Amino acid sequence: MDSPLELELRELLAGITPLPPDFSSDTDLLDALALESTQIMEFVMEVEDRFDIIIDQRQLAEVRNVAQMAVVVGKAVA
Amino acid sequence: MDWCWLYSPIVAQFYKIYRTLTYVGATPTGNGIPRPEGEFKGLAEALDVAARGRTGYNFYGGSGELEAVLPYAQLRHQALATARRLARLSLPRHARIAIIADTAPLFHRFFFACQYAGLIPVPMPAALQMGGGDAYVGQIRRMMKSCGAAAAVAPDGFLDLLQTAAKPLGLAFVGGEADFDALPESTGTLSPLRGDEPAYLQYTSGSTRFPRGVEMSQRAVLCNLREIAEFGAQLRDDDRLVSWLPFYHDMGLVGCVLVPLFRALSVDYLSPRTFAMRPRLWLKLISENRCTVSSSPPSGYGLCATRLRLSDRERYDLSSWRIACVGAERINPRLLERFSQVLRPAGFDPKAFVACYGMAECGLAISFAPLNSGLDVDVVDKESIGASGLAKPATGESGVLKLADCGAVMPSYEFRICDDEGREVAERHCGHIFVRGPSVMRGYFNDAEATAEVLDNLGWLDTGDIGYRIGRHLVVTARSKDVIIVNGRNIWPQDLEQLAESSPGVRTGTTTAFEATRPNGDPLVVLVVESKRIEPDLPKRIESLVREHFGVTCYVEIVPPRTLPRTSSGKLSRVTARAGFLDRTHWDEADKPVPKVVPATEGARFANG
Repeated sequence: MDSPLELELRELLAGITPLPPDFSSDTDLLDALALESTQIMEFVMEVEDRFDIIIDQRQLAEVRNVAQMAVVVGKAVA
Repeated sequence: MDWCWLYSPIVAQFYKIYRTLTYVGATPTGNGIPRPEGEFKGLAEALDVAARGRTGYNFYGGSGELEAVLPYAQLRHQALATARRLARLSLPRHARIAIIADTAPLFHRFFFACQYAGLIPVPMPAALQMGGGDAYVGQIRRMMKSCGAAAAVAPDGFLDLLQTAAKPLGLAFVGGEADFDALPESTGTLSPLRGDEPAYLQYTSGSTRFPRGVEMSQRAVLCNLREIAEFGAQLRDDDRLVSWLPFYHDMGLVGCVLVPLFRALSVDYLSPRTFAMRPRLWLKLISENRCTVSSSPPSGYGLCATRLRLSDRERYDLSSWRIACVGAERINPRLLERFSQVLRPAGFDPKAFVACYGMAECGLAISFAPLNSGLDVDVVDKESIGASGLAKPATGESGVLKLADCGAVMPSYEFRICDDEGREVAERHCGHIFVRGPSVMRGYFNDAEATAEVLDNLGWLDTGDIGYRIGRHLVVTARSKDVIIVNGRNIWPQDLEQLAESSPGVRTGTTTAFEATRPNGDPLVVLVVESKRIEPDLPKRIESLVREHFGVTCYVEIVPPRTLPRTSSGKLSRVTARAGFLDRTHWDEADKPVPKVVPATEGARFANG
């Protein structure tokens, strides 16, 4: 089950690129969604703005899906 | 009481240092010191002079707030202290120091510490792709190995990755700012780099698998700086720069760290990452700080125009922006037209566009378009240039190619355009661009073979680019015949091919990568892979590998074995492969490639065969 945070991230992502019906929090953003670097930056910007946090590049290097992004955001807002 | 001590120069000096150290806002525009006579012997000397004034470098954070201010005076003070600490490492003169070139004061401090300490700074990329930690470690490890780095420094966010990358290499010292600060200062005399000694190594050229570090001498880079400042941009004392370009690229390092230093101008920095997220901050900074000079590859102008909310543009006043350099990739006039269209209401003057051409092998610039005249587009007959290489001015509206005039080759260069046999061709005929002059690199560091490929013993540099001349003006029709440039980044086809060949089911020597141009002028990265069977997942797998390593989307086409054209020696020909691909391909309304033969039929055919 997706957490509320994951659902919110999904909604932000859907504003940037259409999500397939089988999209889940474990869907790989690079492989399955084929996000390009400029779209990734747009997504990160939306996330930063929505949660008023700063995500540094280093943390991003470990993120491949919404679930992992939720962990990063969760830590930042905690 | 005798109060005259108040007026003593020593007190005045202390007061100036105090003012500099306690400065809270960004550094002012205008240095307030007379321009020095004569020539600098080295970059350290240029910093000595700039440090007499009030200007310097300003770093803005992710939401456009001023994060750090580094006046030249303070930079000099810190660089000297750091140089004395580096001296404690007892490294031989000209030992290489790798610096992870994130947009932060640490970069400047170590770059100039190396200048004072007689060590060679080597800027390293600081760009992490999402999920790309391992690829990054491999990349910087190869670079450090290639330059034989003796020490390496990274900002805190990159330190663990740097340590992982450096582990098998056995460097004398690897650390963050604090680790270097913990070293005691040496008391010996510093002897800065000067004259024919190296200034830095720059890894923008060559593939990431086989990195090549451009070695620039002090004399060569200072020559290019002078020509950019005096001939190209004709900089004035009241100019102010804004930049979001990375310091590990020639346009960021030479254009936006060294050019301002040379003329002691203030610069306002955003990180490339901040720009990619919030391109409007670029415009905000130019607007608020009344900046006059800012450069970008065409794709940066394009990104900015696409992402800007039209309702936001009234907030900006770009009327101070007098030089908007455009370079680093093939200039697509469409992107610039779009930018001017969107930002004209905000006071942007399209006459500010200045097309430039250059490369790290010459420091930065080779040619500069005239100021205050905007982009000059040469409209030529498409048929003629394609068939015979003659850039005949077009007579009609259709069948034309619009090419940007990159301006006059700067006075210190000799140049010639040659055919495949090395014979000089006439005006308006396409050929290989060769240049010679005092700002050409010494060579690729520790790579005589790669150097000999591009630099002959008479000093002529083969730029690898194709173009034609109109008088002393250059029109570049294709950047290096192999290199693929997307969003201002150079991607070498060998890297893409090797990456594709690392996937199961793909054999070595059966892939070829190149850039194709979509009908709308945008580039498309294409990887053609020969495979006996159609594996439905294969294109997707390769595409995601490429995305992970290079952050770009490529189009993977699977073809039956022996489809790719090979030269008589068995080497794949990328140029012919591109022509073959274009023959096999349609473009849909969105300018996406569609194979003329439906892949399913094709697949069935070679699954049976």
